[in-house]
Formats: sequence, C-alpha cells, structure tokens
Amino acid sequence: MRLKSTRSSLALAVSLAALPAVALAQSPVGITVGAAVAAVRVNSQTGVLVSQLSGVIAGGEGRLSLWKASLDLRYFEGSADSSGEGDGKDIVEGEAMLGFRPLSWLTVKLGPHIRSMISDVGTQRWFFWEVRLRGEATLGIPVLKGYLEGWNVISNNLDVPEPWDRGQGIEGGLRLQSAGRPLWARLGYRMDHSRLGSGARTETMEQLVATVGFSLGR
Amino acid sequence: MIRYRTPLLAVAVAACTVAPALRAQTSTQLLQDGIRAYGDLEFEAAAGFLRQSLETGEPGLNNSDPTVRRVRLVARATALQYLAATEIFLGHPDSAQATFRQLVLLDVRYQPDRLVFPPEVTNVYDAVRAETKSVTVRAPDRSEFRVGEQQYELQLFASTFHRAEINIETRGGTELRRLYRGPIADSVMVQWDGLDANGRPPLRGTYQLVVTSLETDGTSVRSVRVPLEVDVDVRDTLPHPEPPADSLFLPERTAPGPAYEALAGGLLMGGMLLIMPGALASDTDLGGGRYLIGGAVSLAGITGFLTRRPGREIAANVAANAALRRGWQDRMELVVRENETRLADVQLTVSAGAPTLVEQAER
Repeated sequence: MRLKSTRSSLALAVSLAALPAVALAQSPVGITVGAAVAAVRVNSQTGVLVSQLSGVIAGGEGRLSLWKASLDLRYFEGSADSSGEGDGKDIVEGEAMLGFRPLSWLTVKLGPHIRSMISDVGTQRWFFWEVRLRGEATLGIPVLKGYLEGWNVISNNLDVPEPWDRGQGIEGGLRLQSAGRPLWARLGYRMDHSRLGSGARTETMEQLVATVGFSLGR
Repeated sequence: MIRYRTPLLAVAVAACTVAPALRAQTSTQLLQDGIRAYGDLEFEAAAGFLRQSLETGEPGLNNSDPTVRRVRLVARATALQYLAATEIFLGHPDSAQATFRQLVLLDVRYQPDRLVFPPEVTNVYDAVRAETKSVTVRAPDRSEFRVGEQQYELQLFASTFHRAEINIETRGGTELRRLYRGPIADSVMVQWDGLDANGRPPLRGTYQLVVTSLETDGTSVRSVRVPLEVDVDVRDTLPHPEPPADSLFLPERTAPGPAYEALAGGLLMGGMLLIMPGALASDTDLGGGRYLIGGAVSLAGITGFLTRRPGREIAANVAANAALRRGWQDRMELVVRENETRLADVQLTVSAGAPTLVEQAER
C-alpha cells in the first residue's frame, strides 16, 4: 500500500519536471516542484484518553500556476509511533488546492484535503473541503519570503462515530529562492486541529516541514 | 502738340541711358585735347580742357567696378598733373599747388613724370607732397582667408613721413580692432587676422577701414575710409547631448516600502505562528515547533528591516548612476571640444569698396 503511493508521487514529480523549461520561461505558466520531509506530531484525545504519536513523513509537492490561477498539489506519507506503549500508525495525506491570486501577496484557495491513519485495528479516513487564505511578504531581501496560510474546514466526510464540530489549521514559515537559479528551499510549521463530539474528541497534527525544490517559469 | 510727345520721350530716354558713356568719352577726349594743347604751349586752352575733363570725370571715381574706378583714377591723376603744370606756366603758383595737393590726396603713388615735366614743375609737386600728410590704401578687391591662420593684407603708401593710425570700425564708428599706430615713411604692410579686439571673429556686415593721418601732436589731419563688406562663414555646431532621463537613474537610497514590509510582515506572520496554534487548539498540548518557526520569521523580518532600513545608501546604484552621469559628461566634453574647433574654423570674405577722403573738419 505504502510503496504504491510513493511510486505515484514520484511519477507526478517526474512528469512535471519533464515539461520543456525553455518554453515555460517565456510563458505565463509556472511550475514548482519540491521534495519534503516533515517531523510529525499527532495528538488524539478521546475523553480522558490521550494518544501522542510522533514520526517522520516524507513526500512532495507541486504548483502549477497560470496568470493569477494556481493548482497546489501535496502528498505525504510516513508513520508515527507512540512515545508510550500505544501502537503506531501509518499516515498518508494529500491535498489539491485550486487558488486565485487577487493581489500579488494574497492567494485564496479551495480544495480537498484527505488524510488516512492506518493502524492494526483499521483505517480512519478523513476527507475535508477547505478554504484557505495565504499571504506572503518579502523579508528585506528579494530572495527571502515569509508566508502564512490559514484555513477552515467547510465540509467533511469522516468515518468516525462522533459528530463533527469544526476544523481549522495554520501554516507559516520562510521560503528562500536561490538568486538567479530555479532552486528554492522552505522551512515551515503546520498545524491542523479538528474538534468532534462537542469537544469529546480532538485530533491535532503538527508538522515541522523542510522542503527543497526547483521552479520553472514564473 | 501730341505729335511731338513721342520723339521727345525717345530723346529723353536715350539721354538717360547713354549719358554716362558719353560723359566718359567726353572726359577722355577733353583730357586728350588738354594734353595736346599743353604740348602746343597753348596753356589757356589746355587749362580749359583739363578743368572740364576733371569736372566731367568725377563720377567714375565712385564706380562700384574696381576696374572702371582705376581707369578713372589714372585719367584724373593725369589731368591733375597736366593742369598743375599748366597753372605753373600760366604764372598761377597757388592754383598749381592746390592742384598738386588734389593729386597727392587722390593717390600718393601718382606723381609727375620727370621725363615729361621739367624740374620747375616737379619741384613744386615735391614741395606740396612733403607738406601734405596723406595715405593711400591698397586693399584687395576681394579676399578670402581663414581666421587665425591667414591674414587680410593691406598696403599703405604715405605721401611723406608722418604718424598714422589704422583701425577697423563699425559703420557707426565703433572701433573693432586697431591694426597699427605709428610712423609711416614710405609704405607699410598691415595685416588683419580677422579677429576683433576680444579675439572673436566679427559678425557678418559692413565695416570700414579707417586710416587717419596724424600731426606730430597726435591730432587728426584727415582720414581715408575704405568700406569693407565682411561675409562670415562658420561651420554648424553640434547640439549638446541630452542629459540622461530621470527614469534611467536608479534609486540611490533604500525606499521605506521594502523595509516596512519586511518588519510588518515578519512580525505579523511570526506573531500569528506563535499565537494562533495555541488559540486554535487550546485544549491540546502542542509541541515547540511553532516557537522555532515563528521566532525565525520574526527575526528574519527584523533583520530585513535593519538591512534595508529607509534612507540607507545603495552603493551599487550610486556607482551605476555616477557612471551614467560620467558617460553623459564625457559626451558633452567631446561635443564642446568639437564645437570649439568648428567655431574657431571661420572663413572671412572681405570685399573692399571705393575709398573716400575725409578731412578733419569734415568728421
């Protein structure tokens, strides 16, 4: 199961990179591809039971932009183990966000966010429709930018018994674009939090993400 | 009555058109008659012919054609010589001296031929010439020369040793350039380089060469005025290069926008990263990753503000702007030098007119 997913993400990255770079440089189309690794920390609380898992997930992300529109794709998988005696879980996560940039520093996004938590007792699938706002600012030098993205879950499909309350998240960090080269790197912190059953259950995932990649075109 | 109008008109028109030619012919004939009568020792008749010749030949001296002017000058000088000699033999020494004085003033280079006229005539001429201070100017009818490199040459002949002053003046009498002030014994060559007293070429126009004969005490006796028509040919100068447009200059100091964007953006985003996760998941024990990244973003914003603080000099842009200005100044200097060369390369064409004699009392 895990190997199959890794192959699909690799195929996506390779196919994006195979597009002719020269043509992209002169066009309004931009492509960004990166490989990422994240230290993940999952906190689940059901009643008085608290489960904390930590581990490493890895994956890739890409962005296809055309004028003011963009499509962000993200895929991660990995595993997190309990620091105590609890069992570990495999984590598979993906999202596809369609974005629109009304201002040079602001992007509005909408799209699905899927997460699967696989353990020995079964698989929990979380499906969210999220709306996001992302802002960017240049931090003194043109190659260094800060970004902040916040989102809210507007729809969901969960295979858990508790009724849904709300879900929100935030991500921010620094993005360094190499001057004169298509390489870039990013260091960010990401947190999403779901609340179910009037607070009887909460699911929180934190990620400390490091990404390197290259960009073509805009 | 009407019948006579047409013939009368024809006679009048003919008289107007042929009158100058007839007058010249009559003057020449009268001169020949006078010389013949002088040779026949008929002095009364010779005096009559010669006086009439001088009266009728007067207009030709101001003719615009230099050749006609010279011919009339020679004829008049000849008539004056024979008339003066005739007056001597008629026993009119005063009239003879007055006539010789006219001859000296007409052109000091003309003098009685000592093979034709006896010493009693030439002695009177010599005495008159010695006491009459006058200068004859020989100027080229037309001369082209390059200012500063070539010269406009004038030759002056003096009747007797005296001091003279030679100036080029405007038509209004303002001195343009003094060419000479000093003694003239026999003749002197004067040159004009085409520049005024300030070292600049004159403007196109009419000027006059004024040669003033002076008494020993410096007072003016008389002056010869030669009109000079000056045409100035100057090469066109190059236009000065336009200074670089403002849009080409880069900002030499940092603008406040990027610095404040870095500070506000860094602090806002860093602060949000520090605060918001705890606010959203208040019931969860979060890790310390948000502090690491939030702090890094805030620090990057502050650092960005400090490195791009408003008003800081941008050395690379200052150097680029200086190079832009220097390039324009170099081009300007080249044009200025080229224009100086072109302005110095002036050609003058000077056309001399008929000289006129002005006695001091007439000035």
